[in-house]
Amino acid sequence: MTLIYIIVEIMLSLAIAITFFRLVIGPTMVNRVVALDLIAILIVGMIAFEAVRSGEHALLDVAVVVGITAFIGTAAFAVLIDRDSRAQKND
Amino acid sequence: MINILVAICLLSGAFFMLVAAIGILKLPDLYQRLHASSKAATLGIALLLLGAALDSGDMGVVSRCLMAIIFFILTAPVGAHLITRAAYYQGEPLAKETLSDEWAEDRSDQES
Repeated sequence: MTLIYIIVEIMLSLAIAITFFRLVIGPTMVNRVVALDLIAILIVGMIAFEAVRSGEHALLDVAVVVGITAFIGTAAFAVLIDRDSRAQKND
Repeated sequence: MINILVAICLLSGAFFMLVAAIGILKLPDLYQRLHASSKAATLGIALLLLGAALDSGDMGVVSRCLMAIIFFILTAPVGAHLITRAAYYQGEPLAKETLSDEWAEDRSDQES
């Protein structure tokens, strides 16, 4: 079981590292928003994994709250980008 | 027995998360990247939370995990749709392999 924990930990960390690379190089702002959204979901996954590894099942509440915050953040960024492009068209 | 199920759930969940991350790095345009991130990441998070639910065996934890899974399945397409719509009307370019773009007239109408 310890080996499986290590493998899962490495895979999730690698996924966050790869997504962070896209966050850095992303050509436009929308790409960065997508990368941030995926990083938030990956963090939820890491919290769920940590709940299994440590046996602290109360951590799952934290995972739910982080997920809700990530969704609200993505929706807010979408509204912001929409309003931005509309304002540019009206100029 | 339940340990094996938990291990399978965790490993496949982490695998799909890794697939989503590789997809977001390698795919050519924003729309395909969103396709990778929303679908593969939703499946991965559902499998990881299912592993946590199986591991606890406690009804309160299982119901919380099921609530989180349903929440992610409901919100991932909504968020992806909002972002794609905003990006498309902002003029985010499509990959050059794209075969048809049926909203192109609509987009140029709004821009003019």
